[in-house]
Amino acid sequence: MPDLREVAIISGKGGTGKTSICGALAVLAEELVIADCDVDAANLGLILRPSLRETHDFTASRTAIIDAQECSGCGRCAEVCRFGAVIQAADGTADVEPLACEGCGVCAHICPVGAIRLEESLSGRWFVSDTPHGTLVHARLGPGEENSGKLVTTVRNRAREIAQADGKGLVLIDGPPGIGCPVIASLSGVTCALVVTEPTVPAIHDMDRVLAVCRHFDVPTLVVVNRSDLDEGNRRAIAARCAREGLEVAAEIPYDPVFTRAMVEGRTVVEHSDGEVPRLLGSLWERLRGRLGLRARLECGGRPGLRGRPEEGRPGGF
Amino acid sequence: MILSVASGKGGTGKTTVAVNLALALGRSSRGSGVPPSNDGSSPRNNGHPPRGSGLPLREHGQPPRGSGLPPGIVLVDADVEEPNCHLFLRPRWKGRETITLPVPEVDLERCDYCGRCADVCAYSAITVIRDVVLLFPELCHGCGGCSLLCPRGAVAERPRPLGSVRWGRAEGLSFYHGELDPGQALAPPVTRALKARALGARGADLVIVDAPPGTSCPAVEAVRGSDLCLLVTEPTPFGLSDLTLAVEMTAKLDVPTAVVINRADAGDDRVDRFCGERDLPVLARLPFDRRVAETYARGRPAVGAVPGWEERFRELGERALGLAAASRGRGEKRCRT
Repeated sequence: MPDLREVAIISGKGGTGKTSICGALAVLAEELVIADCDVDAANLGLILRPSLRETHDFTASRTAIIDAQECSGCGRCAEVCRFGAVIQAADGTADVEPLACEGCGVCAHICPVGAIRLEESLSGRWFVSDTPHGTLVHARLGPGEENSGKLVTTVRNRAREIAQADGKGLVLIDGPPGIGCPVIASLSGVTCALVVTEPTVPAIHDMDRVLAVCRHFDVPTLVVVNRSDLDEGNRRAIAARCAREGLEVAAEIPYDPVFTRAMVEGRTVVEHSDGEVPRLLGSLWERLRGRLGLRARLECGGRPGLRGRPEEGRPGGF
Repeated sequence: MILSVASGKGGTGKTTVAVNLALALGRSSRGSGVPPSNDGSSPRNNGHPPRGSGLPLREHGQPPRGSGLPPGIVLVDADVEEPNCHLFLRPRWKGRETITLPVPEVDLERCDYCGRCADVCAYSAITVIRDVVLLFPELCHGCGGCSLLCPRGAVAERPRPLGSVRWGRAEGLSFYHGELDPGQALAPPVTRALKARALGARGADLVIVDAPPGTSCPAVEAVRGSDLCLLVTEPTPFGLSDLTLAVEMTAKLDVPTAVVINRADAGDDRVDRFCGERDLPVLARLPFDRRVAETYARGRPAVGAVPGWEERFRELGERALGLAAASRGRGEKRCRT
């Protein structure tokens, strides 16, 4: 079994350029499997030209269904539901608001006439696609659905299996924004995290919070400053913060409309042009490769035992 | 009246729109001496779970009545994973409350290891192996099933902190802010508690909710019950893809929807065509303005700093309020009570 590295690209704040940078790294890395773990709003497929190979249903959620014929109108279900999902009509008969239901099943257990059952619902789909740069595992959570953390774990597990079966040494994970359950599921047990930020007050605030999550789960972290020329004072503040915490700033990439132009063309920025931005992304990949010890037989950051085996770490589904 | 500001994609300008909209409308309402509400009815419980059903509300605390906040416009930062509005508003905080989730605690004196709690737990947060009970509080959703259904009454609940809600004042606005603690996974209970408190504030005529990105439960929790949702997007392939998903979400929530196109001069015209095909009103096309980007970078709102932008946001706000009022009548007929 080859030594597998997993790198998660996250940011805290949305729109800092995670997906554009992930796509570029996927093109540069060769020999990898790509996992789009932004299951709410997967966009990597828009620049990697995937051709769909497999589609799978994702049915992790359950929803309570009340049989109106059986319901006696006693209201016990509405009393015990803590999610406000049971709505009682004037005559007392109850109905469930599916978007509020968290599938706990307490109402079904408590119903004295057995009128409530739980049904598995289709909460999304996940896919395996071929791209010119490697296999892409991606997903689509149905709008308004829960269990995004479990879907992220499904995508990561499949990406890892494919990497091991095909002898690829790297799984590159495009993570979601935020710090909640899908981010934790994207991050748990990875070899290292790449945090993409920009020199703005909100992005720095959000980076601090996502760095706290990385520390909480003991994940080695590198920082990339995108649109680095937006504000010189803030750029220096990020550099100082990283220096204080012993974090490497792996790249500073100035604002360049070339990212948008490449996206409109449906390609990654390194395929679209060969200017300054692709050159900086090339050196980012070389640094990352060095840190990962790919073709250099070094562990990430020289610390053993940090390679990812999430199935042994924190449970991935929330 | 509740106006939510959301988007599928992150970084499109939700916070910019929510903060500047609140500031511009606040300034114009102070100018005219009339709050921007048109019917004066309270938004309390509009589309929300009835009082007492939201977890943290029942378990802990009351809405901060008598907390000294003025009536009128309330801005709610419901991006509890990465809240940013306060960076622009620099509010004077008036109060703070820890938001907790009730998680199980087992009295081993009473427990006979029957395993009923583990059977009823839908989240694998409790396991019984022979004479050992294992608890995984980070997986618990706080449904209370284990405690309610334990035949020996051996399961009690203890509050587990998830985050906090703070409130204060800035620029004549009331401001509510929710924050998930780093390392915690469950954002929706914090959002629920935040909204319960903000919507319960006395005299909240207009509530503007800044939602998190995405289309799953944290975004749903923020947008649910709005009179109008403004989806902020950008005219790029990523923007269009995520706008399409966000429109599906608001349709599922039965919330009237309009679009704001930010950085309207970058990218292509696919978003415009999409809005045309779906009959989605485009309430504003905000051009890229380097000065706005620079004030944003320094944590300053555009309104009051960059000429022309107060008028832009006031106009957007007036159009949004008009649309929300028009669709509100329809919405109330749909509302199940």
